[in-house]
Amino acid sequence: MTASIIHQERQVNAISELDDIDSLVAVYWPRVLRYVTFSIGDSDLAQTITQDCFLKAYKGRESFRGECAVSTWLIGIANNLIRDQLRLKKFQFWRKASATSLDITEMASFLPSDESSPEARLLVRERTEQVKAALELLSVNQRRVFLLRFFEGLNIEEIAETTGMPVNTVKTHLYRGITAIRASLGEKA
Amino acid sequence: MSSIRQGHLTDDQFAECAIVAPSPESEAHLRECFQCRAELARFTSSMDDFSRAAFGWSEAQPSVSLRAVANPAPSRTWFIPATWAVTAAVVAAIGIPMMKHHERQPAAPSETTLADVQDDSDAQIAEDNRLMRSVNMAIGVNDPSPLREYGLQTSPRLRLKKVSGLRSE
Repeated sequence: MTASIIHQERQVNAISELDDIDSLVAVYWPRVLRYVTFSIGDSDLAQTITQDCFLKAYKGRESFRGECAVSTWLIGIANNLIRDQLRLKKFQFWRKASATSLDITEMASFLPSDESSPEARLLVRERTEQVKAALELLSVNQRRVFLLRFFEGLNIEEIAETTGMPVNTVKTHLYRGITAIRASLGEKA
Repeated sequence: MSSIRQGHLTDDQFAECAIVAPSPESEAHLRECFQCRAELARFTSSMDDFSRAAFGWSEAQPSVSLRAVANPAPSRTWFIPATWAVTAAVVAAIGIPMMKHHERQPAAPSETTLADVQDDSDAQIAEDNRLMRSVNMAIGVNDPSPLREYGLQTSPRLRLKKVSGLRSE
């Protein structure tokens, strides 16, 4: 099967999937909201951006060519909306406020409970908070790139395409993010 | 690829391991170095935990329904002409029968007719007076006057005017 046929098939499936906006939201909302929230660090604004993202995707569903997964396409739209927000003055506060924290507490409380020991759970909780704290020290662009890699599993080229950044910039952001997380985890390891 | 320094992975090598995959050189080192292997494992598992926790938080957020926003009610540009059409039909349904009914009614008396009534001819007045006298006499014969019954006296001329209502010619 050629690549074009695969794309066509994926496009047909995706367009029928995109036709029902409530189903689209049910499937992809948590993923997009997670990415947007942890990219910009403002859960209220993230809700608005995520909502706009789905509306934009639904209205422009005919333009989806099936060249990537629906989730990647949605994340791309969300990225454009974040970029628009970054250009706005009202977003300056986030870039300037290095000490600003995400308004999400007790991240680890949202982890599914498993059979691990209380000590292991405590360690997971501690590390989750360390990653979160380290992410807050990154710039929005560094965070976006980092999250696209570690939340969405995109490779460097896909990140470059979806963010519109050069590949080398993506690599630099990733290295900085990883270095920051390593330092944070290493301090209390 | 830079060589492994101080017996451990460099930052670039570590990042490469975390982002893509270890190079053969890094892979060989990881097999031998417990410290680097443990750090890479700690980093990877921490990111997995953070990712799952963030997803759990996201899933816990109240869901939204965008159907109403995405599919607003169809444009009401048709609504205004339709309203006017209905209004016109109602006006026509009520107004046309009323007009027809009004046309069937006798015309209102014209000013000429009113003048004719007010200015009766002498013959008509005389006829009316004769009619009223006959009525007056009939009443006078069969029914006693209330004035007479209660003993009240009036002049015959006044009595005649009040009771008969005769018009002067």
